[in-house]
Amino acid sequence: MKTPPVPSTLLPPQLLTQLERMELVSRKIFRGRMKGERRSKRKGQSVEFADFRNYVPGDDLRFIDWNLYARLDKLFLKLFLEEEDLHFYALVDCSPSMDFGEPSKFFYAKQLAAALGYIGLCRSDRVKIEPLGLPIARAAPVLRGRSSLWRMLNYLEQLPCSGTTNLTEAVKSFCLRNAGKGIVVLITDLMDKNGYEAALRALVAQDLDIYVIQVLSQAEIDPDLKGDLKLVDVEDQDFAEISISPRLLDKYRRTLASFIETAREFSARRGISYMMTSTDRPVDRLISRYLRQRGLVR
Amino acid sequence: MSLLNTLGLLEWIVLGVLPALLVALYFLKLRRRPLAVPSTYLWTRTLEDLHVNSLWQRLRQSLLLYLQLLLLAVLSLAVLRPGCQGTELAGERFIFLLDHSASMSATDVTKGTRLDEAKRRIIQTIDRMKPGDAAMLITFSNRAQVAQSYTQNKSLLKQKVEAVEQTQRSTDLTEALTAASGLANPGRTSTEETDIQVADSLPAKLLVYSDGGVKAIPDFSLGNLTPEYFPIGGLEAPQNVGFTAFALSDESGAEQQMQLFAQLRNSLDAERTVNVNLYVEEQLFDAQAEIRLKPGQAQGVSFDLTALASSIRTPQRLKLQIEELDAFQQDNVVFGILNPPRPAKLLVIGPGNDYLKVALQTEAIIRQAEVRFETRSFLDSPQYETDAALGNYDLIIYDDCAPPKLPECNTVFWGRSPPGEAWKFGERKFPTVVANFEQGHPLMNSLQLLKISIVESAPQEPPPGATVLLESTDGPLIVLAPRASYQDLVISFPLAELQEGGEFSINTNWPSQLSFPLFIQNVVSYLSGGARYFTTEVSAPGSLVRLRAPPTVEQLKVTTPTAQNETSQRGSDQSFSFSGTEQTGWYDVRAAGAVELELPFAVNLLDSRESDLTVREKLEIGHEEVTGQRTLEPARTEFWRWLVVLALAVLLVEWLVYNRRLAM
Repeated sequence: MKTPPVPSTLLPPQLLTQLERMELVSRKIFRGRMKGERRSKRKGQSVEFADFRNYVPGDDLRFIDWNLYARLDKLFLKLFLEEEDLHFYALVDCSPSMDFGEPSKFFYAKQLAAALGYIGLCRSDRVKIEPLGLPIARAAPVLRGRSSLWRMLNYLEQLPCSGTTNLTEAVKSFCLRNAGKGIVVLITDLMDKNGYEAALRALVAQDLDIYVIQVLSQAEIDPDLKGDLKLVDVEDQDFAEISISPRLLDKYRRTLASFIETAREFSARRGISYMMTSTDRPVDRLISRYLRQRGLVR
Repeated sequence: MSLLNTLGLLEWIVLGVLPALLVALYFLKLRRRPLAVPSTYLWTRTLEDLHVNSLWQRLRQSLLLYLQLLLLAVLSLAVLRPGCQGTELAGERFIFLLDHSASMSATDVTKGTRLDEAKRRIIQTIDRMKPGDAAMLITFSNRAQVAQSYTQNKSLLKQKVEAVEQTQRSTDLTEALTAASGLANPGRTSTEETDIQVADSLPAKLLVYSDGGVKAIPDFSLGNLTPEYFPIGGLEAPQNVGFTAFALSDESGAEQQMQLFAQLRNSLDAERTVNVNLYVEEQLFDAQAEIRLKPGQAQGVSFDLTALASSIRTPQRLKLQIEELDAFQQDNVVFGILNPPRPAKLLVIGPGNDYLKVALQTEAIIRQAEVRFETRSFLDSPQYETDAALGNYDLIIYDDCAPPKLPECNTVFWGRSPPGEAWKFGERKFPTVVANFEQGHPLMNSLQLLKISIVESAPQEPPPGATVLLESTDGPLIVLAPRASYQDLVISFPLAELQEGGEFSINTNWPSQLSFPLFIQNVVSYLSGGARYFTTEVSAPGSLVRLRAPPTVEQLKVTTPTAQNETSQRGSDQSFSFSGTEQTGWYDVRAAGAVELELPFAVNLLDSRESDLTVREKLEIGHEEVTGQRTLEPARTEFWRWLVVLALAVLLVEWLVYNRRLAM
């Protein structure tokens, strides 16, 4: 099936061809809803034999192994491994704090989500891109198949960066609405004054294969500020008055490092795969190198 | 601790505005620039740690302001020149001695005259005086004057310095030093013992501003005075040729001759050739061209005025002038007065002593004096009383007789004591041995008196102030004593005494000696003023001139060279004195009444020391030698104030640049 050319800035054509060769990998085998290209824990109708079991009345007669019946005079049912689809969720943080940097963190997050989603689409996985913090009315469609690329990109491009700022609430809302198992990639900057821990715990409770990708702009990692400033928070209009000094900048960097380390540790303890990236790092590089190392893609 | 205000009004205003400007700039800095960030989450956490020591933080934020305010305060304080004064150092005292003698009018300095330069340097020193310092100003030429007594008022001092005028006088530092010393040393008074101390005697710095053309003062102790000498004038002596001596004389033997002598001196290290012109009544009369003057040497010039002297009827004004111009103009001209000849009037009263008669009829005396002989009986006549009271005679010789009252003229008493209590004759002694005579006196000029023999003589007791001219072993024989404006010559041994038989008995062999007629001639010349009829004495600028006029004249009118009219009243001693001789030149003297009288006199500098314009590098005061300070230090201009102001400006610019850099 030929992919129609997509006039999108999110995914350049060369990236698309690169992504087509990739595959999302889940560390767990989940039960899908529809027949997919993946083996499922569930026994089903595939060519790959799994096991035998005794016939009980009501079983589909089509799966009785008649050769065994002839030999042993007992009815056995032939079980096959079911091949199923994979549920892939990309959670994109739509809080205003993401709309920062050049390119903005939000754009970067959308690009990443689009790339991962496309990999999923190519493998007939069930792809759902969930904007965090936006009203439910804007909930994402469930996409499947390479032909859905256009829809996905269109949807992503129309996503506004004006959601609520509470990460936990948004994640909980997602968990309530999506009970299925699968891979979830949370793309956020984790900058929530109420903390990100509750949100991650809620995801863990869903028994999902969780990836957290923290996106930070270069200006956040290494701020190039001078003078006496009144820093205004774009989310809650909170402000912090600072006088830049080498000591303060140093202190800030240490605070940031400690913040990242805490997040990494928190994630590692709960089986969450965490990684931090800067918007300066190209998406293709991130996927082809870093995410491959982490085992998200193959 | 005291502060010294070194700033002007403008500078004060600038200084006052600076802190306000600094604080204003600080508030400019405090206006924080708002900056939108995705989240203040990390910043807040960062600041939370820092807020533990938030007081320090707040201080740190404005630490730069405090530091700069401190720097500003320190700099401002520095501009005010704070200082500490212990009790010992309370107020230094300065005595400025400013030379305004003739040589200070030389123009060998960069601007104006030497006096202007000296004034400028004194004013600079006054400017540098600290508060509490007191100074006084003494100006000196041949006379010293306290122009300003001790004061701390700098502007008054400067005003007084500016007001000092150039004089044409010669230089004498002694009086100025005495005045200064009286103020600095306890137990010494400024002039006389009866003087009241005008200020407490305290150590003082004596700052002498002069070209150093002063006599060495060998016997003077400076005591508490610390002398400093500032030579004023160019490093190299300027070109100067000037007159150092001038005389009109007829003393050239029997021939009646009038000569003008003048001495020219070249104080330069190079040979010079000058032309000298003689003017009579401002008309060119004679000239001597191309007079060669060797370096540092003097050369005389003379003009023969015999023909002129014999032909004139009124006093003639003479002026001798060097044609060439140089750095010091005052000594390029000398002024003189040539008087028409007029014989002196002489009266001899006595028994008719032949020796005296013969001696008074020599040709030299006849030429300068009309001599009248009278007998003793003339003393009682009314004619004598009138003549004596009006001073009709210039000299009266009383030979072996005495009048009841001293006349209004010079007198000679021979063998008798003058009337009055002042003179006393002792007992006649025999024999009389001549012991000593005053050789330097004009009356004793070219005499040899030790060989004369005297039989009897009465030792005298002269009045105070008298000069003893001849002395025997028993006491004075010939004494000259001043009496008001006159002089009395008293000889206490008679030449010959009239015996009862009408015969003269000889008392001395003096008349037979050559010294006798010479002595008589000296007496006539000196006491009758014979020589004065041809020339007038040359006075120095600033000196007191005594004028004599007939008794009928009550007031004299003196016209100075600058055409100012001054009057002179007859003093208690019947003479007229005139002290306003500040300028060199001719002074016309006329009787204020109807009496026809002309007594002009001339005033000239004629001082070789003044004419020598070399600036002396050392002053000798007492045993101390004060070396001149030619260093530029007194002329120093202080720039530190501007540097401090510059530092303040730099500080502001730095502050501005710092803020700009942060704001960008």
